This record gives sequence, structure tokens and C-alpha cells, in this order.
Amino acid sequence: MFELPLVITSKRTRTSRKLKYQYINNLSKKYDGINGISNGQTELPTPENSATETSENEEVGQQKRRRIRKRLKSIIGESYSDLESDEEQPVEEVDNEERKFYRKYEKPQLTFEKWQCDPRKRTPIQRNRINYNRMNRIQRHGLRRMETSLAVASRTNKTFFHATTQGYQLFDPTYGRANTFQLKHIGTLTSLLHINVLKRKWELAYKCFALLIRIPGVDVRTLWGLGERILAERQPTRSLEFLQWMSSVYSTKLPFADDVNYRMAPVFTKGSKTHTPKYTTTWLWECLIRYANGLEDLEMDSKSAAENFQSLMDRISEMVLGPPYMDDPEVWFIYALCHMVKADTLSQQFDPRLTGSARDIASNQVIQHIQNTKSHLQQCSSKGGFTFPKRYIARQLAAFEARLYGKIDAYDMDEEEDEDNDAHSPSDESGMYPENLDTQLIDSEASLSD
Amino acid sequence: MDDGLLPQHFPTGAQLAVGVRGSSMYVPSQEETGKNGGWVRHFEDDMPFNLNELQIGKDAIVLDDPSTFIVEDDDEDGMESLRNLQDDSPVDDEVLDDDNEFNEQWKETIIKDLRWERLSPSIPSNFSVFQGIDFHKDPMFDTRYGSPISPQDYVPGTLINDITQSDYLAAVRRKSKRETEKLLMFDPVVNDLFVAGNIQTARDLRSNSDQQTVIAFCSGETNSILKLAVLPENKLHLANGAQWLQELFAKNVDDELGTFASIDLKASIKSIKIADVSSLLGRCSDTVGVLTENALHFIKIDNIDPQTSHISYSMHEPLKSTSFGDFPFADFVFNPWELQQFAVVDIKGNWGVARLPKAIKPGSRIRFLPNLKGSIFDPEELSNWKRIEWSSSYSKLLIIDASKMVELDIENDWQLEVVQAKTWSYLRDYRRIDDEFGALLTSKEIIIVSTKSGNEQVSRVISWKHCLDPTDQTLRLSIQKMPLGFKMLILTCIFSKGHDKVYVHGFCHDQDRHLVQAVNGPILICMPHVFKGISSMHFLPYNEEERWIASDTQGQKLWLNFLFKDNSTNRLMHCFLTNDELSDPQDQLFVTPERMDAVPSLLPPIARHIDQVRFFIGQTKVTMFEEPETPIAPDSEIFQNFGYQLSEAINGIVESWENQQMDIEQVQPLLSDLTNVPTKYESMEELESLLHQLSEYYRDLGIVLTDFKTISKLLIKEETMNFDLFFSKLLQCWDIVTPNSLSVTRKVFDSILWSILRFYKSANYDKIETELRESLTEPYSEMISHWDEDESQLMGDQTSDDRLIQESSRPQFLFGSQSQIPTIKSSQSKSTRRRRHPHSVQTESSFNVPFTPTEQDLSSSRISGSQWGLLPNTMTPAFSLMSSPTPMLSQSQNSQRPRRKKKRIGGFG
Repeated sequence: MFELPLVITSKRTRTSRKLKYQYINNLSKKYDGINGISNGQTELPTPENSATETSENEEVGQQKRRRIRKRLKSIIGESYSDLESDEEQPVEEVDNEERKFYRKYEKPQLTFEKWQCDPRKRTPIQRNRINYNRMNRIQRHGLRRMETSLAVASRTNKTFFHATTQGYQLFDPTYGRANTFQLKHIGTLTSLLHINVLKRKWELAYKCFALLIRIPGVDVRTLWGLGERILAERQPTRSLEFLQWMSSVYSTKLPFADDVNYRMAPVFTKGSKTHTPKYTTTWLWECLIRYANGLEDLEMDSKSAAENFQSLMDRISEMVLGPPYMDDPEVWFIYALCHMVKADTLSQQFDPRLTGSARDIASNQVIQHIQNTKSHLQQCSSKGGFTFPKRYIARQLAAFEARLYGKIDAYDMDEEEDEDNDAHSPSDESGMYPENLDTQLIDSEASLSD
Repeated sequence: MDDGLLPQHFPTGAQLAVGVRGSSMYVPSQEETGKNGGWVRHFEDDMPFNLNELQIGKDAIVLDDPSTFIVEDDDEDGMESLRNLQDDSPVDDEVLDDDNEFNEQWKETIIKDLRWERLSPSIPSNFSVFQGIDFHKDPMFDTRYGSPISPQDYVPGTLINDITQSDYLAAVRRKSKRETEKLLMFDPVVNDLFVAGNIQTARDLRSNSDQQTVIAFCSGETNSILKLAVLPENKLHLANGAQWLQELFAKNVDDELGTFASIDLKASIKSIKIADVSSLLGRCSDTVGVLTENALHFIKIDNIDPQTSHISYSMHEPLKSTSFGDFPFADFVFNPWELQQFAVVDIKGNWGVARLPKAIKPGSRIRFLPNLKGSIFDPEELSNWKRIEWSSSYSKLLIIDASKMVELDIENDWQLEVVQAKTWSYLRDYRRIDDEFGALLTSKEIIIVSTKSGNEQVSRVISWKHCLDPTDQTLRLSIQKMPLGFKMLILTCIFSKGHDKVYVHGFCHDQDRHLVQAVNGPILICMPHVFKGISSMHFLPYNEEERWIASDTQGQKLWLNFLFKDNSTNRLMHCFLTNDELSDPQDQLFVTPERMDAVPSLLPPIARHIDQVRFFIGQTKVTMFEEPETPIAPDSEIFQNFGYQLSEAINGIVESWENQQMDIEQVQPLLSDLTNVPTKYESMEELESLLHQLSEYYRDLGIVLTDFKTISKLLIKEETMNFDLFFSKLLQCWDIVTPNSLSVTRKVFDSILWSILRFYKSANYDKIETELRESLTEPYSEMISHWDEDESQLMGDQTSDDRLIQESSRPQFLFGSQSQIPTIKSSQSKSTRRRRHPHSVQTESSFNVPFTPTEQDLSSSRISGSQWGLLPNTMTPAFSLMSSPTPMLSQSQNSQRPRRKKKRIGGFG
């Protein structure tokens, strides 16, 4: 009953899919013909993609060079992804009906479906209703073109075809699946894995997971979420290591080719030049939250936690230099949060009794972090597509700053601040509470959007 | 600017899955409260309410619809064989001539009760015994009423031609062994076949009385009869859960006396809906809509008698699908803001909005509103499945088919394809939660979408990847929302026609609906009494207003009542989910609490039993009359002989145990296998004492006989050694069923007794166990050894001995364990060869055939090859592939070129 962690194809499913898409293509062609829609415009412009197509030979050479370079780097010991070439998807013959169908649609990387939220894409209501005559004409046309391929199809495929074209759906999930021992084994293990995770039996789940990912063909990228959960319950540090491993091994900087038929949705499983893989963001979030919590715990061995935190920040600062992280608002947001946490901790540790240069250094540290937070947030919002509570963060940042000047008169400090940065500190502590302070909102928002 | 409380991608919302907790927001530390900084996450770990505490009520109450018998599909054949059996017996005619037990009703009673679900069969109140009535045996007069035909979907003609009887339909129903090979089709238009909802009639409104919960369900041979019944509101949330429901249905068994309103719609019902009215209106609807094969019926409930719960109703003129267009309707929905308005969509995506006449008068028709018609027809969408729902406001509609969701505004004349699911996933179901939220089920995720009127469009808020089989097209969603303190919990349940498990995941939102979070962890519930799958499921309405104020949720006991319908039979079943402790521990023995078997057994247990029972009855019938009157020896003699033979045989076996290897089957031999068991004795006490003595005697030798107590406890819920008592209990049951109860019971008793009495020596088990354990390969034996261990203990061990275990497991993977990853070299040579000679490879190694070399294949081998050296030293061994690194490196270098050239077949999974 669960999704198997591998791609299954069998001859039967392939043929039945082929029949189905051939029919669908026939239908839509006829439909377009009837309605006078020209065919050329339905295809999406795919600039990235056509670029790769034209320079295919060059690409091969480049890849070779890149591989050699990577090999050298790996020998030096630099952690570097070697799997980019795996992202190369096989390309089937051009006259493939299925491909023809999918070529028409944009393949989203962030979600399984394409979500349209732009009101500008609205169209007037389609008033033309389909009637039986027209439908019949289309269907007859579709079927006529199918005669030869149907004649050679097996009976099962024919039944499948007729059932789907009649609007029925198939009920049997195992339809067309090869009935081998290994698939059964994988199926059983997958079910056990899921069930034990749901029942919170982590030891058993761990065993299943460990067995499962060793089976050839099983892709750990479809299971990493479960693995992370299991490890997080057993040994929290291990789960971070696992995620780190995932993101270093399965990261790629290649663009996502839109005209290729992928078997696996990239949503939770892959990254590309424009898409940060989910395991990387999860890794960053988990690191941030765990290290931040460690940072707060002053009694504990806070040194290593602080070191961890610092190394996380260093890592992110490196990551945001290149794609895909460079353009991912979420990574920028995480980076900003790092600084915010840091500013919070430092401003709390700030000793108001300090004087002279020591005081300046301490307060400058905090202000540096606050400024970094702001600039990273700005980066984040400039990338677009990411929402976060701006006013709330701005208010918190102002509160951090206010801590530095503690009980001293707020007005003096305001001036001093304005030289450093554009933020205003709140005149009272009510700035902590999101609802109360309206003037503050506008100011800080303005400062953010600069 | 949308200023949500949690950071998230804008059109995407939060995407969560197991292990993916999504983005978070830092809540800084506050000095004055002394609070340290914390985090607000999309995945809420500590809710006041823990989903994991929910358990399923121990027994599902089966609400049989009396007019439809619960019969397995293949019972007909069983009856045939039964009948043949009788025909064969020579004495049949004489003896059975005045025997009336083979009329249809008897058969049903027998079959029904032979399921052993309840010991005391519920006798319908209209039950009567036709003593002395001479039944004509001519099969011509065999009525087929209540015959075992389960309701079937309509199958179009072109399909029928393809499907030969033996091939698909029949074979599937008969549960052939190669079930996986068969295609199973279903009509996606068939939606909820029952619904429970609130009804407030005009009279209720006038008298200012509350709404009543009405359940509407379909019944009858062809699912064409609609039944309506009132569920008494004051009993809905009682802790004893289900008893009253059963009583209600028992009371209503008889159509004449009961309060079920029964309406024959003369076409099979596809969907039933009760209008879900917006809370703004402050009232409930009084109309039930029913979609049948060819028309849409609306039943207006005029009055519900508060005393007798009698429902009086009137019907609108049915809306024929021909009056709308050329295609049958696929779905309809009531306008939540206007009770008289509804919208329909047909199977090709044509939609329209119509209005019910205010009063039901002859000649008043349902009218389609002019200009409020349109189409979302897509030539590429083949499935008939369509959904229509009202969106956030009066004028906005959502129309959904398997590959897209279109939002349209009928007043401002625009439409927008909000969701386009052509590539990775398909839409499976949509449920409206309230005016602001909806739940969309796709083949990959559950998505809570916001339909807030403030937003421009429908947008994703939060999603949960459910990991259920994406090819299962029967996945449907059922939701229930309930207030928990200051939060509103939304439970989403996914069920399928393919299995009996329900996947439950929770979401919650706060009162001002800004913060939407996922609740800790999904759970999986196994529905009892379901053989094939669940066709519809509904929660009983929850009284929200009263509980919203109750802030103290920590100890809140929840009882979530829901009804569900099995798709193989026509039964409606009731069950409940609770986080309360289930009372009555004794009864829990009878539930199989952890029946979450991962692999569904091919044959549902019940079918197997029925076969056995049927065979048994047949046999009994034959032997009962065959036996001539032979002179019977006195009991003492019989038992003496028997006892002697038995002890001889046992001694023999025990000796053989000592001497030689035994195999598993011989570990607990049946007594009845050893010698002929006596059948003609009279005194049961004699037998009892004989067996007692026997067990006493052998106990000293370390040999244990099966204790009869356990069996009696299982069967009659009483621990007794007394055969007489047991016998009389059995007799009670059979007495209702057959006049020959004495002999049948005797037979039953004998076969029960002799089929359970075994003996064993416990020492033998240890031997066998160690033997088996040793025969296992390493990873499996390790798994087995952890299988039953106490978890807490296990965790303790794990953390302390962690290093040790890893160290020890490392070499095992290195040297010759069976499950080791194949080395690069071998997989390479195989895959390249496969390219050239696909046929020869298929025959030569079946093990590798299912895997066309996929990218995973490559990537995993690549990792093992070149990534080994790159892994951090701290990496857990579970993710690094164990092999000696040096040879791998060179191999992978050599093997990269041929692999890269390989072309694979594309397409979507």
C-alpha cells in the first residue's frame, strides 16, 4: 500500500501507457483542429533546455573535463559532488507519444503540481460546452488512428485501454508490476519500514531502512525523510550527518531539462541548478535549530555548540556564493536567522557595565549581526517567492539593539544607531508584542525594503 | 504584503513529510519572562492532543441493512455444491421432504451465523419458522431475493465485449490465486454511498429547536433504495460509543415499524450529499441530494417527529441529466450560502448552476440559471472523475478533475486553472473544510488549501507527503474538524478500496487562522471487519460550538464516531477513535489489536472459514442419515479401547522424539491423528475424565496436552473444563438454525474437540527454535533477535553499546553476507550484456530482470565506487557502502564510460 522506493517499469505498463498517450494526443489534436487552435503555441519555450541541446557535443567534452577536475579535487580531499552526470536523463526516440504529451507541460520542480496564483492569468469563463456529437467525432477520430496499434496489443492492454477511454479508472495498484521475488521483498520491507515508523518502533524501522537501502535499485533519495526521522530518534547527531551526506552526495548544479521524461518527481528527491533539494534545506534547518538550542543552553558544553553554530554559518556563507543556493530565498532566510539567533544571544550576554573599547567591541558585534540579518533578509525578499513575518523580525531586532543600551535614555541611543544603521529602537518594551506598535512597523519595514 | 506567522515559500506553502519539518521561525528569548529562545515550526511536536494516543474502538459494530444480506460473492456456488451434496445422498428425499431448512432464509441464517462473529445470532423480528409448510422444490420457484449478488457498478458495452466472464469480473470476485494479474475497474463517479449530516427542517426553525443528525445511506440489491434515519443527538457523544447505535439499527430492522424512511429511486445511487451550510447562516439545511445513474434527486425533509423520529419528506421532481446536456452528471454540490442553489458538473466537465423551487408543487421544476453554465472540458482528461465545490465566496466555484483544478467566479466572469497536475501527480479527492480551508488529496500529498476570500486565489498552505502508493486510484479523503482548546484540529483520513487501512494525519490552525501547522506524526488504523477495502467513510458531525470554549484540553477525552462502508459487501459499520482508555480488557482478547499485517493475505480469512464450514455442514448432513443402526458397545468399552490405543500411540511418539530428529510438523501432533477417535459414545463425562486422567499422567513426563479451557474461552467466553456446559452452549446456538441441532452439535463438538487436542513437549520447541535461528543468515537473525524485545530496554542497550554494535557489524558486511551490495564489476558486466542480448539475459537470470538499469542503480553503484573516499569519517556505516575502497576506485573509473552512454526509456511513473 506504500509507494515503492524505486522506479518500476514493465513492458506491459509501457505499452499500455503508450496506447493511452497516443489516444490522448489524437484526441487533443482533433479537438484543437475543431476549435481552430494552432498547435505551435502550446509548446513551452524552454531556453535552458534548447541551450543544452544545441551544444550537446560541447557539453560532453565539458563534462569530461569537469569529471577529471572533480576526480582531482576528490583526491585532494575536497568534498565535492560527483553525481551530476547521473542527473542526465535518458532521452527516448523523438516520436514517443508520451514524450509528445509531456513536452506540452511545464514540469514544476518545487511542487508535484503546477500551482497558478497569478490573477493576471485569469481568462473569461469558457462557455462552450462539449456535446455528444462533438465528443463522438473526436473519439472516433482518436480511435481510428489507433486501430493498428490496438490490433497488435495484448488483450490486457486492450482492456486497459478501453476501460480508461470509457472514463473508468483502474483499481489494482499492482497492475503490470513484474511479479518477482525482489520486488516483493522490497514491497514488504517498505511496508514494514513505514509501519514501524508510524508506530514509532525506531529500532525495527532502522533495520528495515538499513536493509532496504542496500538493495540495488532502491533509491535512498526517495527514503531519506524516513531515514532522517529514524536517525533523529535514535541518534540525533547522526541524522544531521546523514542529511549532510545526502546533500553533499546528491547535489547538482546542472539545469533541470524540461523536455526529458523523468520517472521520479524532483520535489523531494532531487536538486538542480534552480532548485535546492529538500534534504539540503532540511539539513540546514535542523542544524540551525539544534545548534541554536545548544547555544541557548549556557550550562551545557556551550563551546562545541557555539563552534558548530559558527561552522554552520561559515558553510552557508560559502553555499550562497553559487547556484542553486544563491537564488534560493529559503537559504538566505536561514542565513538571516543564524545571524538573528547570534544577535539575540550576544545581546543577552552583553554586560552593560563594560566600558571603553570592550564595550564597543561587544556592541559592535551585536550590531554587525543585526545588520547582517537585515541585509540577508533583503536578499531573501529580493529573490521573491518567500514570505516571512517581516514586521515581527524587525521588531525583534530593534529589541536586541535596545538591550545594548539597556536602561539608559533611549533617545540618545537612537541618534547613535542612526549612524550605524537605519533601524529605530523601540522606545519601550512593548515592541516585543506584535500587535501593539504601529509606528514601529512602518519604520522597520521601510528599513528592510531598502 | 502577506504577513504570515511562519516563513514559507509563497505559492508552495510548507511542504512536509516524514522527517521533513519545514521552515521555522525563531522566537527570541525574553529577559523579563526568563524564557529562552524557541522555535515555532510547521511540524508541531507538542500539541495538547497527541494523535498517537488515538486508538480504534475495539469492535466495529456492524449495522446490517436488513434488506441486504451479507453474503460473499461466491456463496452461490457454495449453495450449489451444498445442494448437490444433498442430491447425492440416497436418503435425501425421504428425510428431507418435510425438512424446511433449505429455503433461502435458512441458508442465509446459516451462512451468516457461521461466521462466528457473534455467538448469539440476532434474530430479526420478522423471523418466522414455516413449520409444516410444504415447499415446492422446483427450482423455478426458487426466489432470488436476497440472493448473493453484491451491488455492482455499471460497465459500458464496449468494455463488456472485452471482458470475458472468466477473465476479469468473475475471476476477480472469486479471488483467484493470480489476483495481481487481473485488472480491476471501478466507476470513479461513485462517491459517498452514505452520509451523516445535520438537518434542520422548517418546522425546527420555527420552533427554534436544534438540528438533528440524519444518516442517509443506500441499500437494496442494486443500491437503488435510499434510506434515511435519525441519529438521536443526545446520544451522539456518549462514552459507551456504539451500543446505542446498534440498538437503533436493531430497532429499525423492520421497515414497517422502524423509522427508516425508505425511498426507491429506481436507479443505482452514485452519491449522496447533505448540504454543508456555511456557519454564517446559523442554520442547517433540510435537503438531501442524491445522484443516481441518470438523474439528480432532491429530498426535502419536512418534519422529523421528535418522539418517534419518524421522517416525513417530499421530493422535488428529479433533474434528469438529459435536461442539462448530453452526458451523465458526475458530481453536484449545494451552495453553502444559499440553500436553494446547487451546482452540477457532468463527466466531461460541463458545469452549471441551478436552483430548487421554493415550494414543492406539481409542475415546479428545477431550473438552471441562465448564463451560469460553462465547461472545463479537456480532451486529454479521460477519467470521468469530477468534483465540484463552492470556494470561498458566494460566486466562486472550484471544479476539479484528475489533472486540474479550476477556480471560477461566476459573477466577475473569470476562470483560472489553479492547479495543473499533468506531470508528477494526479488529484484524487477534494473536501471542503469550511469557508476558508479545503483539503486536496493528490496521489502524493495531502494539501490544505486556503480559499480565503482575502487571497486572490486558492493557494497552498501546508502539505503532507503521505507516501501511499501513487498508483492507487481509489484513494479518497474523509475529514473531521474539531476544536481543541484554542486550536482547531483537522483530521484527514485517507482510505482506499484496495486495503483496510486508514491513514490519518492531523493539521491544526489557531483561532485567527494564521498559523496552520501539522500535528505530530500520522497514524495508521486498521479497520476491523473489512475484507477488501473501504468505499466510503464519514465522521458523525461534531458539536463544535460547545467545545470551542473548553480550553482545558490536556485531559480531554475524545470520542470520534465514524461510519464506514466496506466495498465488497453492503454493510455499514460503525467504529470510533478515542484517546480514552478502552475499557473492558477481557474483550480485547478477541480483537486482534495489531493486525497491521504489511502484506495483505491473498485470501481473506472469512472466505476460508466459510468454505470449511460449508463443507462440514454438507458432511454432517450426509453422515447423519447414512449411519445405520449399528449395535453400540457400552461407553466403558469404547473408552477403554480408545484410551489404550491413544496411550500406546503417544508413547511411541514420545520415544521417537527422544531418538531422532523431528521436523516442525511433528512437534505438536493431533490426538485424532494417532488413532481412531470414538464417535458413538454417549457419556460426555466419561470422555472428559478420560482426557483428564491422560493429561494428568503425561504431565509428569513433561508432556502437555492442550487445555480445553482456552478453547472454551475463545468460543463461549467462559473458561470451563466441563464438556457438558460447552455442549449445551453450542446446542443453544444451533437450535435456532436447525431442527437437527442435537446431532449437528454433537458433530460440531466432536470435530472441535478432536481438532484442537494436541500434545507437545516444551523442550522440543527450544531445540527447534535454535535450529531455525541458526539456519538464518546474519541480517535476518539479527532482526529476529530484536523483534520482540522491549523497546525501552533496546534503546538502553543501543545507546550504551552503540559503538560496539557498529564495529561488529562492519566486518559482517564486508565478508560474504548474502545481502551485500553487488560490486560494481558484476552489475556492470550484467547491465551491458543485457543491452546487447536482452532475451538471453532474461532467461538466464530472473533475479535481475525487473530492474531496467535506472538512474538509482547507477547512482548507488557510483556512490559505492567513488564516493566512498569522500564520506566523512564520522558517517554511520548504514549509509556508506561496505567494501574495500581501493579496488572500487579503479573499477568505477573504468566503468564510467559505457554507463554514461546508456539510454533509458523515459516517461512518468
